[in-house]
Amino acid sequence: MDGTTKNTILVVDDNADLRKALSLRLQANGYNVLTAADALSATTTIVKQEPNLVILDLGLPCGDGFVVMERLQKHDRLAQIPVIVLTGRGKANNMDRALRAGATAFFQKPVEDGQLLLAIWKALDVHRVPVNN
Amino acid sequence: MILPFLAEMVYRVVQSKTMEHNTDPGAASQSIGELPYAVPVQVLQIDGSSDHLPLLRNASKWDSLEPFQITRKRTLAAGLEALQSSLFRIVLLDLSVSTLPQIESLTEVLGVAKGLPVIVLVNEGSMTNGSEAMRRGAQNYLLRGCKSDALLHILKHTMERQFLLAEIEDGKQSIARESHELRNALACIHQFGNILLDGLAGPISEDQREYVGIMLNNVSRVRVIVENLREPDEFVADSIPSTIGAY
Repeated sequence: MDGTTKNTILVVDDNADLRKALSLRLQANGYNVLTAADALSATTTIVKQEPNLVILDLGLPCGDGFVVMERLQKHDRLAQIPVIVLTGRGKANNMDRALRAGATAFFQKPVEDGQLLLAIWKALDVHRVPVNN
Repeated sequence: MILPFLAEMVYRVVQSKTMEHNTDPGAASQSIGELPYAVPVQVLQIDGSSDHLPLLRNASKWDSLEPFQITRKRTLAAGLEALQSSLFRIVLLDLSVSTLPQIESLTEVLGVAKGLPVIVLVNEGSMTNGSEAMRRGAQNYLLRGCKSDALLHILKHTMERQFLLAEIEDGKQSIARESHELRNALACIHQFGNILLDGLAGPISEDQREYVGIMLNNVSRVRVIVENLREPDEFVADSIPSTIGAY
C-alpha cells in the first residue's frame, strides 16, 4: 500500500454488529471494506469485486465458511486471495480443517485487534496481491 | 479444562445408574423404567454355534426377555446384511461365527454396526477373548449358557448407557451452540469497547475510558469461562462405565 491506494477487505459474518465493528476498525487502519452476511453473497462479492483479503466466519446462512473456501479453491485466481477465518466455533474441530481448506490464519472470537491486523498485514504482504483501486 | 458442573452432573447420573445395577443383580427383573425406548428393542444375535451350546441355560426363558426381541442370524454374512437395516439397537456376537480369526469377526461387525453396542458371546473358560474384545471396541461380553436374568440385565444396562450417551451428545451440541453465541456477543462488546477506547467514535473522557476498560476486563473474564466450555469431549469418553462386568 503506497498511500494513494488501499487494499480491500471483505468481511463475511452473519452478525451485523460484528460486521460494523470490524468495518470501523479496518477502515481506521486504512482499508476499504466490503461486507457480506451469508455464504452466497460472500461468494458473489468475491467473484465480482475480487477483494485483496477475506475475513470469513464459518457459521453462515446459505452454506458455511467452508463452502466459500471450497468455491474459491476451484478458481486459480480467486484461490490466491488470502482468507482469515474468524469464528465462534471451536478450534478442535475447525482449525485444521480451515487451514487445509485454504485459510491463511484461524482466530476464535473475540480476537485482539492487534493480532488480527498483524495477520492481515502478513497475509497481504506474503501474497503480494495486486491492489484493485 | 472441562466443564466442572456438567462433568459432575454426568458423573452423578452415571453413578446412580451403575449403582442400581451393581448393588442388586436381581434387579434384572425390574421394569425398564422411564427411559424412552421404542419397544420392542430389537437385538441382533449373530451366532453360528450349534444348538447344544445354547445362549441361555434355560431355553424356555426366551419369552421373559421383554422388551427385547432377539433375531438370530447364523452366519457372519447374514448378520452383516441384517445390520444394514436400522432396525437393531444391540448386537450379540458369537466370536466364532465365521472362519475369520475371532477378533476379526468383531472388527467386521463394528465396522458395519456404526456405533451400535456390540456384546460378544464367549464360552466358559475363554473369558480372555471377552476382555480382548472389549479392548477392541465391544461394549461387554456374556458367558454362553447364562441365565435369562443375566442376559436381560446386560441388555438393559446397554440401553441405559446408550441413552446416557445420547443425552451427553445433546449436551455437547447445546454447549457448542451456546459457546458460539457467547463468542459472537463477546466479540461485539470487545470490538466496540476498543473502538471507543481508541477514539474511533470520537474523544472520550478519562472517566469514560476507565469504565470502558472495566467493561473490557470483564469481557476477558467471561472469555476465559467460554474457553473452558469449548471442548466438552474431554470428559465424555471416561464418564460412562463401558461395562458392569461379565455375566
